[in-house]
Amino acid sequence: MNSSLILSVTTFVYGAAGFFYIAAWIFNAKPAGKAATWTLILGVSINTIGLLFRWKESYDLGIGHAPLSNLYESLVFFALVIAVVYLVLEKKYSFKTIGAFATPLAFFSMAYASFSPKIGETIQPLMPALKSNWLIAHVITCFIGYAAFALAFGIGLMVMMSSSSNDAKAGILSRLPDKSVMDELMHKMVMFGFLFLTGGIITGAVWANSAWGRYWGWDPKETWSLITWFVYATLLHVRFMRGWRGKRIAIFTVIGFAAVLFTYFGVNYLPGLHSYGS
Amino acid sequence: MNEQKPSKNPVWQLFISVKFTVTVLILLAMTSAAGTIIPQNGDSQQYLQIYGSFGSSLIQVFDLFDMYHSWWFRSLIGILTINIIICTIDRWPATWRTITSQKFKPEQLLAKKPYKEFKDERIPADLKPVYTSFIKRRYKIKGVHTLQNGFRIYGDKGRWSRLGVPVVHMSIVLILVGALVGSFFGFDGYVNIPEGGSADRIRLRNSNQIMDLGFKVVCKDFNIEYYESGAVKEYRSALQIIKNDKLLLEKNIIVNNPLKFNGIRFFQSSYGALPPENLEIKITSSDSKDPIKYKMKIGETILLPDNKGKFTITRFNKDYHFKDVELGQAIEGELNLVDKDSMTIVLPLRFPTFDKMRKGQWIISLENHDNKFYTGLQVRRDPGVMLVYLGFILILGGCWVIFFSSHQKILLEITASAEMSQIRIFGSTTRSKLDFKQHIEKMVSSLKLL
Repeated sequence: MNSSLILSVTTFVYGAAGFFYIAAWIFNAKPAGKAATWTLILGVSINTIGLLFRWKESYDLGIGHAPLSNLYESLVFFALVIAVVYLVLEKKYSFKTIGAFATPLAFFSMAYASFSPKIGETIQPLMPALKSNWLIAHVITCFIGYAAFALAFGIGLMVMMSSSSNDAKAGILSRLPDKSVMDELMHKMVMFGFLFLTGGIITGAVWANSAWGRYWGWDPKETWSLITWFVYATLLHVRFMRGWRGKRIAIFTVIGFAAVLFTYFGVNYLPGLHSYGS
Repeated sequence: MNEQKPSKNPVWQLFISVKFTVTVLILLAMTSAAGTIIPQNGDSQQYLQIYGSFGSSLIQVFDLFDMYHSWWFRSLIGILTINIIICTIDRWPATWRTITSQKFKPEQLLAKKPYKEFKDERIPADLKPVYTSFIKRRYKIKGVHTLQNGFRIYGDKGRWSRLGVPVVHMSIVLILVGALVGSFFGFDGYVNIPEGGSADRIRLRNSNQIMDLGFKVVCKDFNIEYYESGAVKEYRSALQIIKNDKLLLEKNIIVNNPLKFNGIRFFQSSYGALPPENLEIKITSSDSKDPIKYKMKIGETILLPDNKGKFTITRFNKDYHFKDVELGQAIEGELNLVDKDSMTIVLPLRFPTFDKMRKGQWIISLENHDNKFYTGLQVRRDPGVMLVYLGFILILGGCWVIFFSSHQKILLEITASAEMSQIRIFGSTTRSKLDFKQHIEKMVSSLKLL
């Protein structure tokens, strides 16, 4: 049994959980909702076990390092954090319809990692620049931030769906949470993401300072993380100061998440120090 | 309160408007993005190729080739800073009043709908001591009023969380001040030191000037370690700091672990091979199959057997190309045979028998050479870093406070109703209403158990 196999299985478990959440939402089926939560918990467990196995395997290869060092590992971790943050949200507020939008994101991340031919699954030794204790802190903070923004994006889609229909609360839209509740949860995820994005940028800056003697160098990835930060900072200001709510904020979460995705993937096509991410 | 403020000048009004802040943020985001697409610090030829003559002249005019350090980008950051400072000053009196004021206006809370209503079988007088001590444990009690048929108790908590927002804003200013201090009082340079050699001067990156360190950096040794796969595992330089012939500091530096001395940090940043000094050359003649070996240095000449001619090592070429193929480092020499024109002999380090291809009468190959490296060090001093780090800590703390705490006010009104008590809970929060509702629900279930 190896970690790649375990993690491929996780993909299907997340897929199944997403299917149950969507079924529970569309058919208003309570048992499906229950199955969804348990399947997702199972997925999180397998995902965690897979990562731990991979960690151990890297030590067996004599190049031991935390499984957070390349695109494959980061996608696997991204899926895990999305699922965990969503489960916390579900536990606290019990709106299962959000799962229909959140779980597929974890599934996509996992599926991309497992099935894209461009992404190598082999465990690589760490290049000298990555050998730092800051690696773990930096990757974890960044991906908690990214995951929270992914969830804000998911809830943003729900807000836009419910705003787009005029016939009052018909069909599946009637089972979405109340607009003000969705707005508040979306905002909560944005704030949580903003806190961790700030932490991610800061841990990256401190690390860069210890590796190269500068905490900021306008490397494309640094720059794009700052652009993402500006986008969400703008969102927070129009909400706090101008009282924007609902659909307009939802559009912002889409733009913000696009910036996140570009920071994550797009930057690999630009030259820079983070090119190991490709 | 707001209405009592004197009218302010229009510049002030502009800087406190949210539209202005949002405009600056969006401009910063868009221009920053542009800088990741337009190659930075390229040469003018490259820009001409990509953007044509008009485009590249635009790039020159607006410093787009180094836009993060251009006057207009710095001005944008400056405007954002002033914006943040003015907004914070503008709001500060109100924020501070809310934090320190002992006043609590129950009417404000009573004007809104109660969060929760429930009944208790006891009469208000029995509930009063129990409820008071319960609320006291969770809130700062601001008043207990006796009503005709009951009482009101109110309090608040988390006033200081209102500091979160100004702290975050001021820490951004602090980080930018730290960056400014660094750019004025710090420097950024580099130096290459050969193994066994030393340096007491560095070259500065911005001005290209030479700077005296005032002490000597010695590179005792440079090493590269590899993984089994052949990928680089570690670059390591053994450094010493020597001043007035005294060894002051010694450290092996690797990437992520620099040497610090006098506020100056030395980072492992690059390396390169030095021209080999001691060479072993093998010369084979097609007449006699017995090769002869010579130990040589660059610049030296040897005579071929039987006075057939001579061979001189002329120079080290660090980047030899053969018909557009890059062969890397090479030793170049000159072969002078009697009665023949002199010819250039190339001995690439990676292909020591390259000269065989020439199919000459005399074949020269490189048997052995010493392998020495130089280490490339980044040398930096940044006295602003401490301010920046302080800003980092404060901004994280501020964001944490904003996210995880809030200023909550609560008011319980307990009135008698038919031998029982009617309890109504009012409140307000600066953050999530959803969480506040949950909090009150929990409180109610505890109150019912009392």
